[in-house]
Amino acid sequence: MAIINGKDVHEALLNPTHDSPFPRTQRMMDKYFDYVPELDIERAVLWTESYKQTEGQTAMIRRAKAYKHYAENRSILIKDDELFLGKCADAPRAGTVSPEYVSTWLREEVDGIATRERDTYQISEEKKRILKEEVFPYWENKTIYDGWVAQIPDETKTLMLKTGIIDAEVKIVSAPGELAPNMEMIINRGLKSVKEEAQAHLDKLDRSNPDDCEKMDFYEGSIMTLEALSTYILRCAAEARKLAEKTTDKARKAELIQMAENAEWVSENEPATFHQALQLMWFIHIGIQMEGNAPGVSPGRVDQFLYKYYKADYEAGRIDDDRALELIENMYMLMGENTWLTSENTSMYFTGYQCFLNMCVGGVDKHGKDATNSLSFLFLTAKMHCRLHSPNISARVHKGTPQDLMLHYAKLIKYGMGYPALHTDDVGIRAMLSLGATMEEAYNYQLVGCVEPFVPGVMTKWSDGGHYNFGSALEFVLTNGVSVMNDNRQVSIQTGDPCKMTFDEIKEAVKRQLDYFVYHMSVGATICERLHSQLAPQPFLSALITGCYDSGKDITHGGAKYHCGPAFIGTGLVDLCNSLSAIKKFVFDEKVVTMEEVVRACKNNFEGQEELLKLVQTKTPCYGNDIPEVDDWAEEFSDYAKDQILKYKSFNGEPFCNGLYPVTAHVPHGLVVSALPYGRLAGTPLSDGISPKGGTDHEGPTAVLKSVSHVNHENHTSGTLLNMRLDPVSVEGELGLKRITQIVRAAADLNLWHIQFNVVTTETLLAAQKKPENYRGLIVRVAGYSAYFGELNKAVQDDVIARTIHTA
Amino acid sequence: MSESLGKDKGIIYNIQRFSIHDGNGIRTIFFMKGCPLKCVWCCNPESQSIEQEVLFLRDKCIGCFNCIKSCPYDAMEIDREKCKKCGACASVCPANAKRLSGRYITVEEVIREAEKDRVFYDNSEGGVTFSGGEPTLQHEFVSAAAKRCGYLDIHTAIETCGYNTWEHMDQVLTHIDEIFFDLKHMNPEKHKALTGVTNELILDNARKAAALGKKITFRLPLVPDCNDEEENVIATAEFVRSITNDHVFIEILPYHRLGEMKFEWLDRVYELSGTQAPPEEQVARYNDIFKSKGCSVVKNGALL
Repeated sequence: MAIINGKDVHEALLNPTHDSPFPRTQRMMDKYFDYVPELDIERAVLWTESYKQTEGQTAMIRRAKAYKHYAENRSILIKDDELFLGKCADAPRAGTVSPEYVSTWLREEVDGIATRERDTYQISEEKKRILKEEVFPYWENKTIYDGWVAQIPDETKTLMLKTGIIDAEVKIVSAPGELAPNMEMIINRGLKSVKEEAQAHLDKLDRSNPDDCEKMDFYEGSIMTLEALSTYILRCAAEARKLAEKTTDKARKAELIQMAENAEWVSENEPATFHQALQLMWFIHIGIQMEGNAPGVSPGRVDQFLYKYYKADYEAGRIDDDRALELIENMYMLMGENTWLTSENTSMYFTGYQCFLNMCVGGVDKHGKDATNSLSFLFLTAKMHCRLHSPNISARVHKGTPQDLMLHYAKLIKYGMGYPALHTDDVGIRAMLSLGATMEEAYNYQLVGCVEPFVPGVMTKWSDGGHYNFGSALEFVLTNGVSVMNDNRQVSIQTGDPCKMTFDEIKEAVKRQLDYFVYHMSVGATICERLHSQLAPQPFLSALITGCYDSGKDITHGGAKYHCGPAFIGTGLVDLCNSLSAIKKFVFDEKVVTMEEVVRACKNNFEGQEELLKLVQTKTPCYGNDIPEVDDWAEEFSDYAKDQILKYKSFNGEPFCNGLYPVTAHVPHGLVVSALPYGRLAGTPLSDGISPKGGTDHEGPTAVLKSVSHVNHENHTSGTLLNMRLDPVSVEGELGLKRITQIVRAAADLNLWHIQFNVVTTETLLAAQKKPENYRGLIVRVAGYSAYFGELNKAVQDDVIARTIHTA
Repeated sequence: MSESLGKDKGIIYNIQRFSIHDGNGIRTIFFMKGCPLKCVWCCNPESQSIEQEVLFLRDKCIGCFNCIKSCPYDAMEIDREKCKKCGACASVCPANAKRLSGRYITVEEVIREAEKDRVFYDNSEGGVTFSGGEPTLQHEFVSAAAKRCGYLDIHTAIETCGYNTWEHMDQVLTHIDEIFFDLKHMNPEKHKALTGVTNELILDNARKAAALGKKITFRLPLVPDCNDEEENVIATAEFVRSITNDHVFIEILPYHRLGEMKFEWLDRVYELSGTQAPPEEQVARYNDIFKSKGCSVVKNGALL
């Protein structure tokens, strides 16, 4: 046994096999890719049935009753090879229809959802008919979307409704999600104990006291949903026993009985084994999804709160690392089936059936000491073997992270999936402190969704309450508030004639545009949050957030200990910096073009100005090259946006938050932004997160990290995102693993919040050969020599491609 | 050598950050301009002249005629006879098809550039590498820059062809922590045919450099049909063995043709057109020969 920082890490864990050693996992992987995502309408039908029966009751009670009705009647599905019971939907990878959130858009989109551009779902004609006849009519004018459109002011509507400039749809077209439930608490206590707590609160209240009425609804609703989940768990167990009776395969029979026993036990109690602890965690996740199919519901620090179960099993000889790994892999395969149903518009911002279920490993304990243990390794190894887009695996990095764990991160990175996403503890901890967390809570932060730091179990924050983009702010300075891509409509304020401005005045005008954006986002978000509290309170989820039972309020009414956000997510910061850089260099410093020409070029997409286009594309000093003047604008404007956002308070009285990560928002935002002064053409994607604009970073990874370090990461408490491309030669062999850890440790020293690597594959190089303009920054390095891939001739490019195959 | 060069001023043709194959850790390479050798396989031909030069990437040209309009010497698109290498064309080229290779640099600029990546050196035991061209050709400047790096606790490495007076070599190597020393051919005549100079001075300097007691890696650029005869490999192995101590290593750098287009950019002819990289089995076999002769063989910095 290797001892790392005083913790036991089993030596065999340090050198994982390349593929899963378990035929079971392999079989499940093979099947996974055959699953065709469908629409699951069970919840829609059952929820609507219940709602029709509960007219006149409070929203809290109606939702609890609908939850109960769903739990008691939804179908149970158990597939071969599975070691855990429970499903998020009625079929693997199916998208669950939550009618109270999705009916308005799905009514319009259901006929095309099987053939739309992204994230398609199959649906039978019969199911379509049921939705159209039994579900949609009931929800007309009752959804959050309907309420929001009816309530937002005209100016907000002009700027935000279906313009793409600001997108607030995500929280009006689906359940909110984005949350770190108190997994540690619920697993350590079991469902029964939590129900008893709610009952104890309820027993102290009295219906004759007006202050108590809403609280009583909440506790009653919460108890009802917890009981309903137990019912669902027992139904799963009963089904497993039925299957066990039927099967002739002795091994499978034993597995099914074990699964049934596990479920029966955890329907009320604290788990007795690691297997049971994972099972309860999965049921809790399902329980949350039953309240509303939502993104970003994140178990968090699995290597910490599951460790005591693993350790007890291990010491008692009930489990070895192989068995633990097989269980985790099995869990990943089930998690990978969870999808988040999105509207066509939202699917542009969050492409890829992602449900953003995030687990993290590593980091520090509540005293700030390294917290690595054997499970940290196992959860990473399982991801090497279950190469699916989901679940998301994140890793925490601090000064004391053992090098063996860093190397394990690097090994997973080399699989090229972008996992794990790496996060710097110093930054995450400071961000949590700034939101009011205690030191101990801050040390315990986890990741939610993509890159959003949360203190588990005590904090609510829609970490993605809507998207805005800096590119439009710059465009509107050039166009005086007109959106070129929205039929030249006046959608924003007039900030004056850009051709009469000094450079500083242009920057100021950008800030006025941002002020206007932020104001309207806050108006929209407040109306949205209020609607959620009125129409869709969350009695189940609130049982898993500390503060709700103490205050007697659910999370939509601000019951959590820390209610933060919602967060607004900025995209295109880098496009703004590069545009300012081009304006400064060519218009003001070198005076080789006039502002009129720049404005004309941006409005006309550089048509007839090809030479200008070439000039700005090749010679603009861009963010990502460690040029302090340009990089400082990233700091200035991101902090400015954050300061404006923090000026406004959300529905529950706390300031909004800022984040700088795109998911895929840079694509749809790009569609509505005109050409920009640095030569980005109209309608093309903006830069993603705070990563350099693809093809403009010429100085290599160290310069990229230096540029990115100009952003004050801890200020953006909903996270920042850096995608970094590494060429395969740089990460070749053992030295390559070491190199990755060196880069990551340096990034942590530079106070970067997040970094994820995209190891360039042969496919990427082939793509770069076809479309060099998209890969201008791609550097090929060999001893004593380096060159931009796009500048090599075809024969030499082929040589390089051959090399990468060789080194893979 | 241009008179203006000296301890305060050097000329480089490139700075490459995040270099990972020329010395330990993550490094910044300063590619010094000017080389006394003219190797036929040179992958950076723009390094050979110590003066500024104009590169012309014809496939990038958009035909705007700005260069022709701006040329004070009437060198049209690029007439290498008339061109005075002033760079006027490069400054007006919107497509970056014309580039001026070579810029003057001070020691303080070197330090400023190196300091940008200190956090990476610290995390990887990296530092600065002076490459070329031949860095010792600018011995006063490189010596001053390396000395300043040492003062600032920045690790230094050098890549040298070894062709200079020992006095100049020594002046630089004194301030260098790690040496990479090319041995291109053991036969003086063949050496001359391939590089333009004979190898006696180089071998003499190699002995002296090895005796300094610093970490030194001799490098054989293995180029098919130029220096890849087994006989040459054996001779190289025996030579290195004869000067080996605990700090002496040897490494084969297999030929690559990545420099080919750069000859086109300079309107020069690439003599090795069509040459392929040496087969892996050959490299492995030669590494075995080195080992059998008692040399310490490395590949990408790791001992084989």
